Amino acid sequence: MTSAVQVVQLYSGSLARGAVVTVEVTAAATAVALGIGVIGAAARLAPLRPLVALATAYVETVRGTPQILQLFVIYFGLTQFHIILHPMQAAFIWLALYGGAYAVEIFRAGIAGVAGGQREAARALGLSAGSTFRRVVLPQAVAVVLPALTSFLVLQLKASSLIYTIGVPDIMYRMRLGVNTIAQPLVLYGMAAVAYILLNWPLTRLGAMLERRVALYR
Amino acid sequence: MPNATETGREPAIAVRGLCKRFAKQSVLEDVTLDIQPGEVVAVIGPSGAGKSTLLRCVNYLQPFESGRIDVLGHRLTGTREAEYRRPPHATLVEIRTHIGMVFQTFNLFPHLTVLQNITLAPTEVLHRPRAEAEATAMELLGRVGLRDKASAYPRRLSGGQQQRVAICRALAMQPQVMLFDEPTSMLDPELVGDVLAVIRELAEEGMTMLLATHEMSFARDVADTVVFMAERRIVERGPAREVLTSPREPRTRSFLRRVLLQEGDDAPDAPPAADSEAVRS
Repeated sequence: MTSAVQVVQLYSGSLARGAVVTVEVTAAATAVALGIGVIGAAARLAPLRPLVALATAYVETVRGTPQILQLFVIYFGLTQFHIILHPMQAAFIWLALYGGAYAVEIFRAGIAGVAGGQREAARALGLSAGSTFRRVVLPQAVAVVLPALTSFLVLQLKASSLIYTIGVPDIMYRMRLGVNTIAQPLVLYGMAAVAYILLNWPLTRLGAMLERRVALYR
Repeated sequence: MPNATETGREPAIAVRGLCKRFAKQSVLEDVTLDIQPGEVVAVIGPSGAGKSTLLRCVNYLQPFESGRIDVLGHRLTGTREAEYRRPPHATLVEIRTHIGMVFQTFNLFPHLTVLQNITLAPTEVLHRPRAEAEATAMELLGRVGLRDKASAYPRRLSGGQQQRVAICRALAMQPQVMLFDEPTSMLDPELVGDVLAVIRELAEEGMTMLLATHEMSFARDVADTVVFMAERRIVERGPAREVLTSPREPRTRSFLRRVLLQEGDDAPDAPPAADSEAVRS
């Protein structure tokens, strides 16, 4: 039987390559998810009924179904329409849409929390609806929801571990492969756990740093 | 009541038959009012009389159902009028850039510094170069004695300082008309004087102003015309001193008696206060 130290030596390269994939998919998908969040939140608060209905339907569909089901629908389900996605593509699309729904809710709460007088002051100065949102409402909304956004980033990174099920060679995929090869699940999954913690750490630090900056004016 | 014909000049703002309701609640009924260029009009009256709403209709923060407002060459029409059409964005921008507004609650942007608060609209709406906008902002801050606060965030300022910054923010757009919505009613009494002094200076420079206020002595001092509103309507309008010292309408009289007693101020027939310090003392 191989010793724990040997296992770590043997699999640290594989773990690093897995981490790169995890970070790539998570970063790209989360960036898009945040964009969806801002646009979706604006839509949910828009004075246009169809827009509100569309945004609400999207959020409720994602929140009401299991993550793995969503991933399988995108990767396997779409093949019935002859849409054959690469596992990386499917993983990216899923994580962006999944995270987007939660980001919509986060930003919606933040935007709703910005005082009405702020919008009014901006409009009285002649700012367009777009400028008012971009320069006055959104920055304040983001400041309000920073703690929620930090947890959101962490949750995205952890949720990405599901993409191993469709064959994306992320951290989880590679450590599972290791477990199937040598019977050392505790060491290998322990390595995965350490990798996730190390990847999440800078995210929470970044969040704390931004919260301190925002505290200057809040 | 309209005095456009008397002076022969185009009013800066002409309000005709303005009616406004929120849901089923009427808040303004048949309000007609002219404001001449350079005129200072103070709107007084109990809370809920519709003073704020009137101001908000003038720069169309509030659409209204009937009547019309001619403001600086543009016509705003009630949504229920036959000739109503939604004012195009460009018209609203034009109206709002020429009308500065100062709010009871200041409404400074908390995430921006004092300087950024003042330069936001000039750079974003008028596309002024940043350096130019900042120079103007510093000059304005100098005028209200707050040059050293340029890089502070609003929460670090007192209410009186915040309100003076808010006035600078409005003035940075070089407006032709200023609307003041009870600019001192959220302030501690000792901070009121500084804000009133700035408004008084603007009046002396000939700025056209419409202000809703509870400061009777200030209105008497600074305003050319006083309009008394109660229960959604204009009850009385006339030269400031006349309305405040010898009102014709019984409702105006009883309102003034109540307010002046509360304020601990002189009776309506007392001489005007000499300076802003004396206003509240």
